[in-house]
Amino acid sequence: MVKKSKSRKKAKKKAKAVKKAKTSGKKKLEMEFISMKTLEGKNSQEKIDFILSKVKGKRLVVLNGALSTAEETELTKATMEDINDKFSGIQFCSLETKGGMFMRFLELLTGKKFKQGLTLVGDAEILKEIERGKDTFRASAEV
Amino acid sequence: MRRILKRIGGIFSRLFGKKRVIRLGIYGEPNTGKTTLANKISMDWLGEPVGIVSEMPHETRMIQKKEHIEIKVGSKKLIMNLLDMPGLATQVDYRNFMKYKKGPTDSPVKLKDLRVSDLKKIAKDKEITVSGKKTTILNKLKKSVKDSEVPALMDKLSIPKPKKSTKKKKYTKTEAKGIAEEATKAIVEAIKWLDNVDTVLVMMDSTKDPLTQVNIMLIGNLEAKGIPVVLVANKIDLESSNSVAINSAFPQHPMVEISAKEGENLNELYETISRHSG
Repeated sequence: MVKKSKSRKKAKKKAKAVKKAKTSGKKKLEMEFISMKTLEGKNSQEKIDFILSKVKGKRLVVLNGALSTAEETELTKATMEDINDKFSGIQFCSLETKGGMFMRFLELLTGKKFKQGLTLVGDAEILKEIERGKDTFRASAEV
Repeated sequence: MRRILKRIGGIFSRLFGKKRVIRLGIYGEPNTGKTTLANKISMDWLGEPVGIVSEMPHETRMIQKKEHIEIKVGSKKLIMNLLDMPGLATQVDYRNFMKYKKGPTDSPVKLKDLRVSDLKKIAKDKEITVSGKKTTILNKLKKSVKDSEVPALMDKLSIPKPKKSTKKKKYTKTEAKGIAEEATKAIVEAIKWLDNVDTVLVMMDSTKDPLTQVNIMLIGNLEAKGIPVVLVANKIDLESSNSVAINSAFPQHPMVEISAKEGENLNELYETISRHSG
């Protein structure tokens, strides 16, 4: 009886060790959700440098806002300037949702433009494909 | 504002009989047929091509210009400077270029391409005494003969052009990295040129999904700058072509369906450019 429980304990230990080894072999996909508030006060160049530094750290970046088309172009330009053997570029998708009357009123009041929406940016090595719809997008990543 | 100023300028030009030259930029993603269209237009009206067309993306790695192309559109004349732009992308991976084979090159003949007997002829002409194997002769000759002088020397000494292997080779890693570097610089240049064009043809492959981030970014940018856009749904000669998808993705801009390869519908394209160029 004692022998049996000992062998059971051993088997359990072994199974745990195998499971641990298996899970540690898996690669992680890191996603960073960033509030647009973090980018407030930063100029376009600083925003782009901030996003690119996160992306080059092999993270997918999700912003709760849309970049302007000028910022998107600057992001593309900055990416091209940074491409090398280890970094082949980015995939990104910006989804803009139009604000209602209140947002327009707020824009008029503050003189600021609020681009509501969502932006996903990732290293092209990880973020393999983005399929867009009019108001949706589907992304597939590989780690 | 820019659009209004252009309209006013256009009206004045017409009033005083001055013909405006449109700087027409052909933009789009790689492999959408930009150079094929530029070549077709230039061949039809100037009789000379603009650039090389190939299956490899980013084949165009320089902004290619053809100036003062006069096109007859009905009773009107459309004068334009054509700018064939490198394909826009957000990623350029050098490894992709290693899958493609090199095209035929017309690179000038170098010393190392010549036979020993021809090298000896050059040595005699330059009054250099040489002997031994090809590498020994080459090393001695290289000290006083530059590769750039070789074609002239070949003409002078009636040396025949050496036959090159016709077997196409794939790009090496170093060559592929070089192409990638050129392609990234070309994309930056093409983006900068967005400030120097009057009208833009946004080329799209009608067999593919038009709702890509590059297309959205490009069109959004042109709209913000007030630059007239004409969407060109290319490759309509292919069975899987679906230009309706382009029209429904960007209904705010005029669209012309063409086959740049077959030269189909180009007159309609010229008319649309003329109508929307202010």
